[in-house]
Amino acid sequence: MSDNSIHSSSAGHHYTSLGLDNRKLLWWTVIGSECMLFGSLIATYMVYKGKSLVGPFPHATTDAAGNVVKGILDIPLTSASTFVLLMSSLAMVLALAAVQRGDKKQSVLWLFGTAFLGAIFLGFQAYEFTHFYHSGLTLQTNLFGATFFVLTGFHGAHVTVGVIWLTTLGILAQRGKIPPEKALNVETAGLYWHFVDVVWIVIFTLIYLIP
Amino acid sequence: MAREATLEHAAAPAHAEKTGLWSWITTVDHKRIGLMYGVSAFIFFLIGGLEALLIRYQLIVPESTAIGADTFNALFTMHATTMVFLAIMPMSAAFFNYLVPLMIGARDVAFPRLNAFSYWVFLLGGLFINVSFLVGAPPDGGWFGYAPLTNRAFSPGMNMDFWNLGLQILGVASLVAGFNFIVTIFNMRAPGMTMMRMPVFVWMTLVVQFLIILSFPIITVGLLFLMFDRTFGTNFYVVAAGGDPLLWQHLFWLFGHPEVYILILPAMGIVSEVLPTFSRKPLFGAPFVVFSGIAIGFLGFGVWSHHMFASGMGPIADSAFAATTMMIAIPTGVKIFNWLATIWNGHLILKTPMYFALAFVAMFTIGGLSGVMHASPPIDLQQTDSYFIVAHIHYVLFGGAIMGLFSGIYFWFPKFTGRMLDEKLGKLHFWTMLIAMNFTFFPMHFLGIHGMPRRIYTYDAGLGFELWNLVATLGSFVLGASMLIFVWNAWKSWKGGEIAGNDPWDAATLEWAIPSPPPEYNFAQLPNVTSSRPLWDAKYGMPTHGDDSHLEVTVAGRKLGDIELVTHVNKRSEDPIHMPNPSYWPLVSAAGPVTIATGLLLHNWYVIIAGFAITVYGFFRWSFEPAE
Amino acid sequence: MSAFFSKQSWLRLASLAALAFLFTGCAEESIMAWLADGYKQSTLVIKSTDLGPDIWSLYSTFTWIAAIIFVIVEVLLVYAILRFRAKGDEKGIPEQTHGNTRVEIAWTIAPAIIVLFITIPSIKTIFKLAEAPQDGAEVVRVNVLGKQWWWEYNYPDLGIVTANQLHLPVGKRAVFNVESDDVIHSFWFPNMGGKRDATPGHVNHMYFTPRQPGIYLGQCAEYCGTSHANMKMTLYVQTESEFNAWVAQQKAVPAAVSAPEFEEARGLFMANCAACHAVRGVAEFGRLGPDLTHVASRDTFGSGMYETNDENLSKWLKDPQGMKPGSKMVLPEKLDDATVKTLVDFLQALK
Repeated sequence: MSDNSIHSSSAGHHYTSLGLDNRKLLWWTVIGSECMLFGSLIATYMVYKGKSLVGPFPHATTDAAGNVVKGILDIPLTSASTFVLLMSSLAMVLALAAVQRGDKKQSVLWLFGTAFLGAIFLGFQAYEFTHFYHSGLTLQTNLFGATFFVLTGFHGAHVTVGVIWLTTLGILAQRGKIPPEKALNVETAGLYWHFVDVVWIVIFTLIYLIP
Repeated sequence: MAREATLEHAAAPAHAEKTGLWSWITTVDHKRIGLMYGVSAFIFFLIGGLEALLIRYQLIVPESTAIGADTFNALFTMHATTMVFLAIMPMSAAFFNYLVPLMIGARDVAFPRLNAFSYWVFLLGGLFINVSFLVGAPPDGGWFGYAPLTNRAFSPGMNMDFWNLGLQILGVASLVAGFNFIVTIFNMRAPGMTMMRMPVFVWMTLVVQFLIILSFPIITVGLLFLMFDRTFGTNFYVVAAGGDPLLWQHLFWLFGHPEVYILILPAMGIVSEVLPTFSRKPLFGAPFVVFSGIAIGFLGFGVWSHHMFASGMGPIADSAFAATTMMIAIPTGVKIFNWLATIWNGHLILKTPMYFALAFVAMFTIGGLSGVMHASPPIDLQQTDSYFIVAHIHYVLFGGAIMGLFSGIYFWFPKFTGRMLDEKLGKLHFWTMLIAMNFTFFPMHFLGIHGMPRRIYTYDAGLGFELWNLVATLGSFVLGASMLIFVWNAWKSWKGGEIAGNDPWDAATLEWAIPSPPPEYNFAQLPNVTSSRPLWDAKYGMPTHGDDSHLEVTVAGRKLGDIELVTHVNKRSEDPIHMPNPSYWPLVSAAGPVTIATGLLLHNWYVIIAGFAITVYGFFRWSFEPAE
Repeated sequence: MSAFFSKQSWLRLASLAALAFLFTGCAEESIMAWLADGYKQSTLVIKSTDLGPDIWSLYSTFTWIAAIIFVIVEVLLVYAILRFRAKGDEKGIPEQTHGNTRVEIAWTIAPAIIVLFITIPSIKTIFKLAEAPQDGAEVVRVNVLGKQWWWEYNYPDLGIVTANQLHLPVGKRAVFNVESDDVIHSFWFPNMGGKRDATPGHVNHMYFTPRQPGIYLGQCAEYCGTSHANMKMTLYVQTESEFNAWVAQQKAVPAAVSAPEFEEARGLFMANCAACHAVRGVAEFGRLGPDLTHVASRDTFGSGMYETNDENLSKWLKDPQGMKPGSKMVLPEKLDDATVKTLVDFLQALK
């Protein structure tokens, strides 16, 4: 989970057949697999879209009496949290650049910065979940509740893992343990972090933006 | 004449051979992990076999009351679950672990501790599912776990929780191993070991790992929904709330069909090594065999709905999936013809591994052909969920996968242990197993044709089921006995079999160039590979065909065979050999998932949180532990 | 050892010959008769419906092709083993052939052609099987409902609800809407060709026209829990007049429903059975169990498990789960012998 958690064996330290570091290749394969995981979750959400028998519904609908019922999703709020997460990707890029040029101060700043922005995103999500809960939407309420909470909850869990990972890297950087030659430790974290961001863009578009 | 190729040992590292239980618990050596996979899988295989014998015992006569309905239902559920996830998959993993690094000329897999982690997660997951028997709640909803039968409303006990959570744990093990082997195969190849020079077994391993990392997430999501339905009261598969049971079927078979290839491709890889070795010529059309393996894997993702022809998807979907399914016959046929062409004009040495490999071709063909039959929906609607399908899958998975795996066991046992398996007992095992399997499984075609559905614990007299059930049951008892011959052979040979030497079969691939069993570091100096049959070419000189322009092997810079070898010693091979340190943190981390599952089973949040804590703590300790 | 191999392949050849014999056109009629007698659930006796011949022709084409390829592969294999096995010299080196692209292409194309050859008729038949009857065509409509572990048949046009024993007139198209109340079941009369899953929340359709009067057996094909094996059913294909007589009988209300001698029995029925079972004229709200209005007109009960007679019915009323594992039938209290006797007499009068 952490920087050198998955240490390659002796033989592959400097030489690899593809010329790509083992850990980097590992994270690419993990991302490939994660695509299928999120793909299945998102596909389920799409299949069950509009199939909920009772409210609350995500978007505005008209009930039997012809009244317009407001949707539960707060698009402006989530746009803000999406923006925060996008900014964290930018911070991640800056963190890696700082590590690569050996700028300890900037490395620490941007690593913690990325983790902090991730944490803000999680705060938004926690607020949103609580708000939905008080508006009567739970896992059990309807298919929307089930698919929404499981999908976004899974994404939130990924963000949480990323925040822990980045915080650990921040602490290591602070102690001077990530010199430029160990930049790969940050690069793999970055790979993961950008992937998690991209998944969120897809989720945000499909769940929030498309009624 | 050929000379025996041996590796230079002068540069043996300081690591002494370690023994004792603790050394096994903390091992990160791919060979030891491979052996542990193999032994565990074989024990699970015997358990699954015992379950099968009880199933057959109940069905020996009509209207038998030997075993009750519920126990029978649990037995067939656990038989399939055990054989698929705890026997064939990990048995294949045993071969991947032991052989892939040797075949590509590496000292270990890319991530040795992650490899140990995979094994421990698998073992704990397997034990977790089987603990269900001890608490009297064995899974009984079928290995395919169709919702809504598996929802809490219809399966109220812990039975299906064991199954659901156990499969999720096993999924973690398979996924992690999948990542590890993809990186290993892509990145850890010895110099000169290009992709197209890799042994076909390594290729099939690679395809399987891709199938695993792409299909297991799908079943994980399906299982997760089921877990949420069962534990947290969601409605993913609850019809009354608008949920759709077919969602489960799609998720399950999107995984389930690639899973079939996950089970059979390793055996195809093994056979592709054994047939050439014992025909003393190269695999015919190796690139075609490789590409047809890739094609099978690829098409495997586009055919899942042929398991659902009876579910009423409509004629258009039925036609599409019928067409894609039948297309799989093409690469499969190519493989079979290439195997035939490999032995054609060969110099066949009929040793036990070869027997099993030839029987694989003979038996798998039967399963393949009946598979084409139910690719056609109108026929499938008569065959699906009948014993015809039971016959089909057993010709594929027993006549195919198990036969291939046994071929591999007989072939590589000398490499694993340094001793040969007994040929006489081996052939006795072979003939008993081959004949008994045909008596067990062939009559099931007839039962299916006579209209006997699968998964029934009792049947009426007078429908023509009696004779063939009797034959199948008697056959299965002999089949069970044949396994005892093997166990005896393995035990006896392990204790005092003939010493094998490096290369008992006069084979072609790198693993035979090193001692049996290999030293911890495998290769004192990494080989420089220049052909797809490095050892053979070293022994017998350059081939006459135009495959490679220069073919020679450098093993420790020594001259091998009759050709002068290029003394290409790169910088790396002069470095001292670093081997990864043993570690118990993989085992500690592996205790995490099973603890989480136990918490979910008992609805105890403290246990769940403790499980997460163990996993995270284990990973952290392992991360900051020096790797070598 | 190779001698053993050929012996084994002879065994396989013999079993193959047995299979081939089953499919030989000339002996077909007699085999059919033989199968129909002993094998009431056979998947090959499908000429008793209009679509049977289509399925049959596909089935036999596929089997023939499979059998021919099987023979080719096995013969080549056995021949190669006998012909190319090393005699003595273990170190001999044959010619090191690596492959032959032209041959490879040939045996990639050959299966492709066979696949094309069998896919087209398959797809044709798929669409033929799915063809719904035209509007206004004279059909018998049956709503099939799978339940743990029995079948309910509802003839919406005739106003008949019955269980496990299905009656159809010969020569008239039967239209089935297959659904389930609980878990997934599969509706299958092998003699009629093909099965359809009964899935909760989905209505699946199935059509066939029975062509031959007779009694056919079927059973649930999708694993559905404890008594999946006991979810059996019978199909009576009857002549037009027999069928009409059956319809008339099922529509009528049995005399026992109002006969004074069953006064006490009806009370017991109301107290013990009516929550789940309906008897028209007595109580019709119970829908969880089979409709019992004409229970005695059915040869078997318990979804084909037991012959309908006093002894079996008494045993059932005393211990349904002992008679059928997992049975959902719940009695408010254990019935004493006298109550059972009264109820059984009443049930036996419901014809």
